[in-house]
Amino acid sequence: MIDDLYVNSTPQDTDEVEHTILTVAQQVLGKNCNEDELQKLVERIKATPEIQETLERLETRKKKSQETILRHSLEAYLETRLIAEDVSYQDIREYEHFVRRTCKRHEIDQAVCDAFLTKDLPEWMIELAKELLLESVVNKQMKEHLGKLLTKPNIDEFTRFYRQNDELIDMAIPQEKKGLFIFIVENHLSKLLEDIKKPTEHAQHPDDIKKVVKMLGFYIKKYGDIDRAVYAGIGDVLEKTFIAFAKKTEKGAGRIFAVDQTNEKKDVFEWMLQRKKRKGATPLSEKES
Amino acid sequence: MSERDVTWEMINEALRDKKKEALKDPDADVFDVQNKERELRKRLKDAQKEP
Repeated sequence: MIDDLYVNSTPQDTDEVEHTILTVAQQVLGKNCNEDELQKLVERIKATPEIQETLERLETRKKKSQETILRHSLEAYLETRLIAEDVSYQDIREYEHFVRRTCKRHEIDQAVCDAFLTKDLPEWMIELAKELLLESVVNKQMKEHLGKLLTKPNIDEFTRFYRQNDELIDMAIPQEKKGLFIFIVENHLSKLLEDIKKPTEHAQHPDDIKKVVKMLGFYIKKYGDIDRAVYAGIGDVLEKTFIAFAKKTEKGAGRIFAVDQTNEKKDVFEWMLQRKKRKGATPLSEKES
Repeated sequence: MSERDVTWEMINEALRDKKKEALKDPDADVFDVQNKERELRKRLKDAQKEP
C-alpha cells in the first residue's frame, strides 16, 4: 500500500503526500485507532527513503516554481515599469501602495513590493537590472568600465571614475534607461557607504567623513534632489556624518552646499533637516539631544 | 582661423559629437577620445590666455 503512494501516484505537492500518508496510516490502523500510534506510523512512513525523496523532490520543485514565477514577475516589472516608463522611486512606492490597498492581489506582487519597500533586494535582481542596463550600452569599452564601476567595492575608485566620466556615462546610457541606472547606482552607493556608515558609534577618521560628504555632495548635485538620496537610505548617513563632523570640529556642522532643481544654492544639512521636519520625522540631531 | 578664434561653444559642440560617435561604435576607444578632449581644452585655454 505504501508502495502505491509513490509508485502509482504522481503527487503534485507535499501537502498531497502528507494527506495520502495519513489516509494510508488510518486505513492500516483502522478507524478507531490511537492518536499516538497513528502519529508514530505517519512518522515511520515519512521516514522511509522513498517518501523522503519524494518530499524533497516536491519541495525543490515548489521552491523552483516560486522562484521562476517571482523572477518572471520581476523581469516583467523591471521591463515595463522601470524601463518603458522610466519610473521614479515615487512611482514604485505608489505601485507598492496600490498593491497593499488591494490585498487580494497575488502574493507574488506582495513579494515584489516588499522587496522594493524594504530595499532587501535579492542579489540576482540587481544583477538582472545591471544586465538590462549594460545590454543597451553599445561601446564595448564603456560597457566593461560601467560594469566594473557598478561592482567596485571601493568608494574612492567609484567616486573618481564617476566624477571623471559623468558626462560620458550620461551620454552612453539611453534616456529610457536612466531610471534603471539611478536605481542601480543608488543600490551600489548604499552598499559602498555601509563600510563607513556608523560615524556616531566609533571614532571615525576625518578623511572618511570628507569622502562621504564629497560623494554625497556630488551625488545630490548630479541628480539635483536630496529626496532621492534620502530615499536611497543615504540621508541618515549624511545626517550622522554631519553630527559626527560637528562634534569633532566643535565648529558646528561642516557646511556643504548643493544646487537644487531650481538652481538655488542650498545648505544640504539644513535642507535635509527642514525636509524631515516637514514630513513629521524627528531629526537624529534632536533625538540625540 | 586660428586656435584663438575658436569659441568654446564650437568646441563643445564638436567634442560632444565626437564622443557621441565614439559611443555608437562598439570598438572605439572612448576614453582616448575623452583624454584628447582634455588635452585640446587645455591647449586652447593656454592659447587664448597668451597675449
